[in-house]
Amino acid sequence: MTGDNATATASQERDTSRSTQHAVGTLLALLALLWLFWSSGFAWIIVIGVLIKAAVYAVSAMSLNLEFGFTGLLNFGQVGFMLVGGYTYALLVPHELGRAGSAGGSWPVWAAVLAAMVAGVLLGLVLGIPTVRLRGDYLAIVTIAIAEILRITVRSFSGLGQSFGIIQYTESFDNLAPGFVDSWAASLDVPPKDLWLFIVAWIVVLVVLGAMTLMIKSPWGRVLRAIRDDEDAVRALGKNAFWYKLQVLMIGGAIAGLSGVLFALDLSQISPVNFLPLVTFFAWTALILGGAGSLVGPVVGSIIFWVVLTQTSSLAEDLFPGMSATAVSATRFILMGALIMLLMIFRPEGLFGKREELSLEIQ
Amino acid sequence: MVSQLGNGIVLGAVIALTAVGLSLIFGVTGIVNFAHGDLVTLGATIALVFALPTDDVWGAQGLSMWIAVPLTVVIGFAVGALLELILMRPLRRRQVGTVTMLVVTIGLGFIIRYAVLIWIGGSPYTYPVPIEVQGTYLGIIDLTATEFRAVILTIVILVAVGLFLTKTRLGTAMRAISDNEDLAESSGIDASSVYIATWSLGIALAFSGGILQGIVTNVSWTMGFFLLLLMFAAVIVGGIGNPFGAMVGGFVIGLVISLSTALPVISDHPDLRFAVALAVMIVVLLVRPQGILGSKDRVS
Repeated sequence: MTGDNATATASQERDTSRSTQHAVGTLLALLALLWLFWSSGFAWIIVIGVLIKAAVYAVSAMSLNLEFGFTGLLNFGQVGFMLVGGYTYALLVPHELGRAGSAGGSWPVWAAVLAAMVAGVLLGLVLGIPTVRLRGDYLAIVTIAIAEILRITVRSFSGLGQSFGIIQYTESFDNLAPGFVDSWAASLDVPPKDLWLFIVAWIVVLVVLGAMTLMIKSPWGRVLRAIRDDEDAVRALGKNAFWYKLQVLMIGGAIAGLSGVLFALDLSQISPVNFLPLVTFFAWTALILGGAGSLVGPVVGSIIFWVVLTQTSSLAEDLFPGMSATAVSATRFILMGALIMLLMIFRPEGLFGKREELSLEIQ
Repeated sequence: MVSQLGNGIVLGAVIALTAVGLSLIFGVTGIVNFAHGDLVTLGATIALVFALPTDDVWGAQGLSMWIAVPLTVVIGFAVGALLELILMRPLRRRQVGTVTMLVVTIGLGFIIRYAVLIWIGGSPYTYPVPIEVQGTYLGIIDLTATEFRAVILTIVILVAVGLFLTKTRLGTAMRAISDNEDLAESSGIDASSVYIATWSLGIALAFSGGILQGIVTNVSWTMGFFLLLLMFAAVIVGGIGNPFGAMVGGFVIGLVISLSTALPVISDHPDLRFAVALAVMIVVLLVRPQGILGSKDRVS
């Protein structure tokens, strides 16, 4: 009896500490939003701009969360998936390519988005087959390498725009905006295309979050978490862990491809310089900050990350007067590097994760 | 194609020199050091700052390369030891996981990369070494005299590292820990001092490789991150965890990169030669994941 009571008390305590944890996380997210409004002087155009970036990286971080948080797979080439998604979309819808500005593309938006996701699936398959059977760090190395291969490739071929990239591909998406967006945009004093992208990007975040919730709570999701916690046990039960991991890389690839589309729509010109390893690093920071293995973690993490990253530039300029713009942004990246190190050492579960559920050993 | 042979050997020397350290650190400590490339950049940068004429610090001439280079390598030994003592050992004591270690090295590399950007700026620098015309060595290899000397020096260093690993007590201890840490410790090897020696040697080699790359091309803040991917390719092709494999793999990757410029599509798009090297790595993972010299049990 006493044993049962003790267990009950312990689990009660855990519940209390978990709800405290969630309250703190939510509070921090609200504070970040308040800070964003206040430091931008309540200018909607800035607020919406930051929140679009937060949505892009929230989707990207949710894909990493499926791979790392729920399955234990280390993908350090997320930017490669986003590149494939963004380029596939921009090349299929009407666009202008390269310095010469040759026009091309005729696909409707929905079909191009679908194709971008399929491209992500295929990349996941190509990456997964040689690496998923091997130890986890091989996947990390190969993903980082493939992302660089892809960047070099698009920079090399004129059919992919070379270093100039692709422009004028957002029009077909902008034209889909329903009438009410114009009047809302006028009252908020923002360009209608920004508001339209903001609305769509956050709908995508919610849809992906919903889909993730369904996947993780399904029997399939339970197998993933079992693979993360003890792969040998899963194999012993006759499950094909290799195939499950491959599925995760393909679904994660589709979600990352989708985030690549949003990324491209936000940029309005994509070129190889937009797809540096920095992008992967940002998505990982958002994930770890919010909490790997938690459903809402990556979304909240991404909001806080982008508010801090964008709103600290004036702070850095005040702290280091006379510094060049490059040095200011480099300083912020250094602090970001330190932040991810400290988080990983002292609070690997981030704001919303559970430490006992993290897979911190490479399998 | 033959005219590219020299370039391949020089690049191979750089990759081999840096990849040996990466492989040793992985073998002994089990850490995939994603900061290794940026440590290469750091070495090249430190030597650059010594050698560049700066009025306020080193006098109007800058230090001679004959002083700047050995000084930088000594600093490399110290940086390696400090990394182990200040960062890696406390983390190991806290028993953080291998994924944490991996993310920590990625963060560390990120910090070094952007610190170098602030330090020397975004544009590339060259060392104050004379510009020379190419000569032909051994009948078919086109190199400048500096490149030729650099390759010979690299081979001397690699042979020295090889002898150190096979003939000395400390080197044998490194290989023993690499093979089986528990067995090595129970036979009286003090793992903690071997860890210090490994980081120390690995980073000194990374610094040397950075200086070499800086001499044959130039010094820039992103040079090392790019080399990191080629080092991974070398380590995987040669056999992960085996330092001799990394040496062989380094030269293989260097030659693949330079000789692939003769292939049809790549001759029009020379940047793709790096993609070829990374593709070779992926093919090796598919066909022979233990690499040329590796053992199978390390792989999965």
